[in-house]
Amino acid sequence: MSADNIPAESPPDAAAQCAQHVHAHWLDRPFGVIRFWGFSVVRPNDQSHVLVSVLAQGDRLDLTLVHESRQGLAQVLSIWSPQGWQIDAAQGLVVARAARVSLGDCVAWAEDDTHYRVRTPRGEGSFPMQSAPALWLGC
Amino acid sequence: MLARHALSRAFLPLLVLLGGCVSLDSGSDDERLPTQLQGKAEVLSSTDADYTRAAIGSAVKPAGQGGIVEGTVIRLKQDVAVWRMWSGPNKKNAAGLTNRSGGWWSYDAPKGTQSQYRTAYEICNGWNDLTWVAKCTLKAGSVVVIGPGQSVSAQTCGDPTGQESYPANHKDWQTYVDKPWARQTELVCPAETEDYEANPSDISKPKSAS
Repeated sequence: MSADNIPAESPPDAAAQCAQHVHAHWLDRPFGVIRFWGFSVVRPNDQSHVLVSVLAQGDRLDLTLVHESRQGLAQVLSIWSPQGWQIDAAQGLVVARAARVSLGDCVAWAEDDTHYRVRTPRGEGSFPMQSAPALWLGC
Repeated sequence: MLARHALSRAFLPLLVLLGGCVSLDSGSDDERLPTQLQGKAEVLSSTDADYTRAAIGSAVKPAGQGGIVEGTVIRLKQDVAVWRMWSGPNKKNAAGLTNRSGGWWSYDAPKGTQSQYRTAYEICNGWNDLTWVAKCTLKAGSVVVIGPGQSVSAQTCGDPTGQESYPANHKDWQTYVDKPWARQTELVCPAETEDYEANPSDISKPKSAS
């Protein structure tokens, strides 16, 4: 296991540990994919963002991202109870499991061990997880 | 090794029926390019110094995830017009930005209805309103990826009804321009006032002309 791989059974201070790791290894790295389980929040690689700060608040991780061009305002992507994160140069930042993930007006949360639910401005629906990670910020 | 079309020769008759514009044979660049780009671009091999800046790995996606099925990296030999549909000047995201610029373009002018365009280029409703048309120029020397659009699943779209999905499209190829905001000498766009709001029933025409 590489130093960037963290076991799935994270300790209670998982958010803080993840924040520390992201801060050390993932800030300023561009990514064009933002997926909550199987849902693609944005059109893949149409735009590109970078994380500029990360903060753990209790069991919630707040990732502040900006467009890679540095134009526009910052947005906050929040992850509640992140578990099993991995940072990989090829794949990006992956969080295997989480209770809830949100960015702007898109929110997704785990319904049970096999399904997650998504709410967007277009409505709300349930989908199978199909082993997809709760969050994927990919290149 | 060159990125090549995955379709086997068995599908060639179907390809011809659908558009007949691409040869599966190896050979000259023109034989490996869609007719619209023949004589206007050269196909780059992975050993070419320019190949990596096309970022083909960002463009090619697995089935269901959008992007393109597979890509060909090209360098333009002359200026080529490219089009992009976007959500208009009044639609800004949470960052306060419009989606006028982005990675995905087409070298074919928009045609048909808005719905047909959405299906042809596999664009989820939540990603883009497809209400405005921008026409820009990819300058000679630009290095981009072209390829057939990959399918998009209902789950990827996040459609709560599970109905919104799009099949892969081997007819209307897409053009991927990696990080266009950093390549303003390669992708040159006129002022936003040159764009037009499209007529949804015929996106080749401005709404005001309907």
